[in-house]
Amino acid sequence: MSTLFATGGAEPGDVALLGDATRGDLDAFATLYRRHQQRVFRFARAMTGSNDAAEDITQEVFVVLLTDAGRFDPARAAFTTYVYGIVRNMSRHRVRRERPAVPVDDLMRDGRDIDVDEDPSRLVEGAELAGAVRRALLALPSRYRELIVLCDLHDLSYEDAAAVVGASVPAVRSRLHKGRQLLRLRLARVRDAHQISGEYRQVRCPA
Amino acid sequence: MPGVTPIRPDDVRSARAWAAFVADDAAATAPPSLEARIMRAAQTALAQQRVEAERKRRQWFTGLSAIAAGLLAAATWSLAPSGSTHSRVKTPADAARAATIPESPVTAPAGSSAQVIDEPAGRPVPMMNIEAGRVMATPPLLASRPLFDHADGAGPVGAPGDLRAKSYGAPLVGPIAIAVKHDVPMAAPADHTSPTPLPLTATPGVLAGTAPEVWSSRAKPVFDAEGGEIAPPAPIIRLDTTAPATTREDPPAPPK
Repeated sequence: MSTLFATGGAEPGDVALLGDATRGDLDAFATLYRRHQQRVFRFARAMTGSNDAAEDITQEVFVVLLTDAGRFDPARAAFTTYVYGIVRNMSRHRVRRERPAVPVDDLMRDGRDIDVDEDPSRLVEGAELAGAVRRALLALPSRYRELIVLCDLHDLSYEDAAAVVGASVPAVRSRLHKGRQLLRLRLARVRDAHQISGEYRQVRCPA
Repeated sequence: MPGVTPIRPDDVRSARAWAAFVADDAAATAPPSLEARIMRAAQTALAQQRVEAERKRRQWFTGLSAIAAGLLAAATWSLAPSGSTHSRVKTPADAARAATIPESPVTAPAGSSAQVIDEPAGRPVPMMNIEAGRVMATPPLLASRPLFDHADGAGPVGAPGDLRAKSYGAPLVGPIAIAVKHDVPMAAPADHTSPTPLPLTATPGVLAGTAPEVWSSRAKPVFDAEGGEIAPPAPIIRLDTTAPATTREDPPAPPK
């Protein structure tokens, strides 16, 4: 059962809010924005690797939701799937348009407050590790990157991811497997580049 | 050792990196200023959408009213009692009048092959092309020709291209040959009213009088009909006689 379709209790609320927003109710639009802004922003940020691009895409997505609300058909897909599809298309368009200028380093200094109680060395190490994964993820082709982000970061099911990217479930499985392999290879390259070495050790775990 | 899978520290490090990446992604949120920005953009988009919808609605109504006005004008024009002779529907009274009043063809003047038919005075009738050309070339005639039909007000007089079988107040004039200056004088036109047809066999005298047999102004004409030149007959090839085949000359042998 699709996770997005399983949340059917919230979907009519989204559709009703969208209808009110298109009739000029800005409060309904604000409610809709607060309900979906984080997943829209996170998906766009993971796809583009830039906070600024993610903000622009978030704005465009909500404006398109408001102006082209007639395109949404509740019989075809859930509202969240529809929103993810818009974000995906806009992110791909943005990345294609600004391919050489995808900044990654600005993600490390995105203005979030730093917890002073935390160990600074662990903060730096965590930022480095997250940056390494993000660089490896951005180096992947978009057809693999979007599925890794949707299924492994946003916890979408295969069916929902297939509805977002417009592919079959077996194709999603295949692409996801290939994408994870590629991501592992890229991470290994990043490790080699940073001269990270260690010793082999054996850990008991179920085969 | 069975049941034990070796895990490299790289894998552990990858898992930690992935966990750090997931934590970083989960903590990401849009800045608070983005909401105000998006609300302003939404208001602007809604306003533009309303303006665009209003413009499209006005455009649609304008087009629809133009079509309706055109249809109304066409219907009014076609239903008017003094409508065009082409579109006027014949009423039974018209049919009865046409049956009681026989047409009286009038012989056209000499030089004209058309018949002149009287028409009740009223709206002008369409002209033939040649008439239109004559009217256009003659200012007094052009001035006397009404450009618009007085019967229905604004309807123009029928197009000159409309064919009809009657003249417009003047005998039809057939096309005449226009004599232009040439080196060779124009031959007299054949007399079509000649009671005795010419014999079918062409005589040199008749041929000489009908048309100048000058096809080219070159020093050496291409063709001279009076010269009596006859193309040489094609050689007769008899298949029953075995003529010796012409032997093809062998190319000279290359020097050894």
